[in-house]
Amino acid sequence: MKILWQREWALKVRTPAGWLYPVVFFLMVLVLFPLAAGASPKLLAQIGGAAVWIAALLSVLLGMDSLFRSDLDDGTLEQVVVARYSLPLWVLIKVAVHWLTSGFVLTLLSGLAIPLFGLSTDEASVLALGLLLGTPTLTLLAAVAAALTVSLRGSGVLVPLIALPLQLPVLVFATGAVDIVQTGGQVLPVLALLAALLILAVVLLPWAIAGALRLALAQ
Amino acid sequence: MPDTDSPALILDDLMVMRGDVALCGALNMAVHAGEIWHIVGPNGTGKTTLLMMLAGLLPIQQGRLHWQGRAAQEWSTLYVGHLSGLNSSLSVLQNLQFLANLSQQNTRISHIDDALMQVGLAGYEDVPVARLSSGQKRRVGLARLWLDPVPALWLLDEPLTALDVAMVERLNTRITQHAAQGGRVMLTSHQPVACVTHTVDLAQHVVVAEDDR
Amino acid sequence: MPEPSQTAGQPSIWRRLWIWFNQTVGPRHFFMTFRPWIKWLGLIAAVLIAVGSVWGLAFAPPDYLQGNSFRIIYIHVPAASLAMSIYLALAVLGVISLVWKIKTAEWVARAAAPVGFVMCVLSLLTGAIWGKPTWGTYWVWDGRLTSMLILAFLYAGIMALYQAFENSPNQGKAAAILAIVGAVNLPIIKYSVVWWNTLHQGATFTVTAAPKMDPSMLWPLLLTFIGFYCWAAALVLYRTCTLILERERQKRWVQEWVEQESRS
Repeated sequence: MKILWQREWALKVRTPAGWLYPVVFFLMVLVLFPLAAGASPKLLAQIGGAAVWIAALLSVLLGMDSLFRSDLDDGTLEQVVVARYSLPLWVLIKVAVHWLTSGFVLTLLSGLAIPLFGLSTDEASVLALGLLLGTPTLTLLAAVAAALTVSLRGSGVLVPLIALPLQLPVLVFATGAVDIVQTGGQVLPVLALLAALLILAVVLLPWAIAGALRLALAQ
Repeated sequence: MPDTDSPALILDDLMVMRGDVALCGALNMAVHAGEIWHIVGPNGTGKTTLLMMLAGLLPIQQGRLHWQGRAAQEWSTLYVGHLSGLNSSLSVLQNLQFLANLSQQNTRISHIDDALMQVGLAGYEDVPVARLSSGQKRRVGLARLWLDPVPALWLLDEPLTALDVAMVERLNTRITQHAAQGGRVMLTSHQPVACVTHTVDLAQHVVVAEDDR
Repeated sequence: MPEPSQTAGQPSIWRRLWIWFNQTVGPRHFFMTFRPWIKWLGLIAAVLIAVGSVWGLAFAPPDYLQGNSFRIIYIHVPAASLAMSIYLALAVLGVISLVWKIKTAEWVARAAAPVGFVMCVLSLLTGAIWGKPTWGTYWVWDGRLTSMLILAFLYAGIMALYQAFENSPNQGKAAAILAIVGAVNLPIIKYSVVWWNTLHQGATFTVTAAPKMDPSMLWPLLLTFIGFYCWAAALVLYRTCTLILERERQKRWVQEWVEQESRS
């Protein structure tokens, strides 16, 4: 397992564009909100959580398309299946490394919401915690969509189309948590919900992703 | 010498199918230890598809594929197909270590160096795969055949493509050696292969038209 | 994948049962068995919907609170229920087609998906029509309507997958996986939307909630409800049979059947 982990890291390091561009995209989308809605501090404080989450969602979807494509095209996926290595485990390792260079980075960057949107430290910490618990789930759900469409050429907008409805609960709960903190309520139950969704995703989705990848091999 | 006492890989009425189309009729054969099979037939009769089914890449829709013998154990398969299985951003060494790890072979650098020497690529460990020619990439893929412990069943799709005479010779020797040690090999090739012991011609297994099911 | 060999001899009772089951859900048997049902289901549906709508639209007394606009529920409720049921059916059919590799299940799912989508859109439209006279606005972001909207997007994703794999023999398999993932997700989505709704708007009773109904209002609803289900079943069977004819057109039984039909 260590070698698989090392391989994924080596691949990520070799292609900085792969993880850098989605991060830049995240920042750009963040900037779009005050530009489109006006920069009144009260408004920005209200939509800050939503803006960060929408930017994170779109950024996660953007970087997902090519996650499995090169492995399908160069025959790596074939070799993993023939060797009867646990495909769900391989998928989990890939997604974990990918998340560390995308969702996790966004979690760290969410602190920018304090200067950019005027969120309080309480709100920003709930936001960051929500991102920490939510972005892995988002990544796994987007990976399902990516695996289902990996054998198609030019499947660009299909991945968001498939993934977004499934990702909505995470969005709703995480932004709801920020709202609750703003009005001074109990935020722990909602974060617990996000954690539960994460556990569910980690336990169930790698199998769906593996099934979709096997399907892609048979195309 | 083929050892008929050892577990045999049995193909039982196996239909080679691509999607809903049957490429080749029911195959009934057994692959024993020490046998080297050459799968022949015109293009489109399903040679590659059959290898992929044996490798577990395609689902088996009709017929059965199983082991029969004293002990039906988990066997390991080594598949060298049309795709190289090499990632072009990584080095030769990184790729081979990954592939060896998958098949539970030795990943020590010195061991991989020896294997690379066998395929005439000594010293190429740190070369990015993107810089290799297609012939060199094929040889890197074949280097896995020299890594210990080598999987028991070898499925090779056109292994002689883009190889020079010396390399073909070495491959033949290695395959014969593997069979002598109790392994099984099934390969396809448009060129004649010196070391084969058995042949199956897919063109002779005609698909019987099905009226309804 | 190769497996340890079985003991030779008579196939077990399970194996024989399995072979029988496989034959019955095979395309030809399915076609021959269910094709006659289409006409009957369609007829029943037409009668039930006609009687139910006329009764509901003309003869049931107006609601004391909502006046006449409540009558739209005679279409809205069956449509919404069908949209949900068909999605769940897609998931169940998906499991059947993936686990037991039954082609017919794939085709029934393929036939049912657009029907479910249309029901979903219909329920959204009728919900909007209900909303205008009742609440003064065509759309309210309440829990039920928003969930229905998300369901429409889930359907869109599934239909997009069917479309993308149009020329592949494995057309239904990717959509089957998505349907299963979506169905497991569906309760979570519904819960999250309802939660979101209470969070932002407080507890209000939703536009689409049907208050306790007098039996005189309930009977026509029951009729249209069953009528819609029959109609959906007829439609799905019709589309499935068409798919079977198309996919099996090389087989002799199809050609014989077509000849028979054109002669009569």
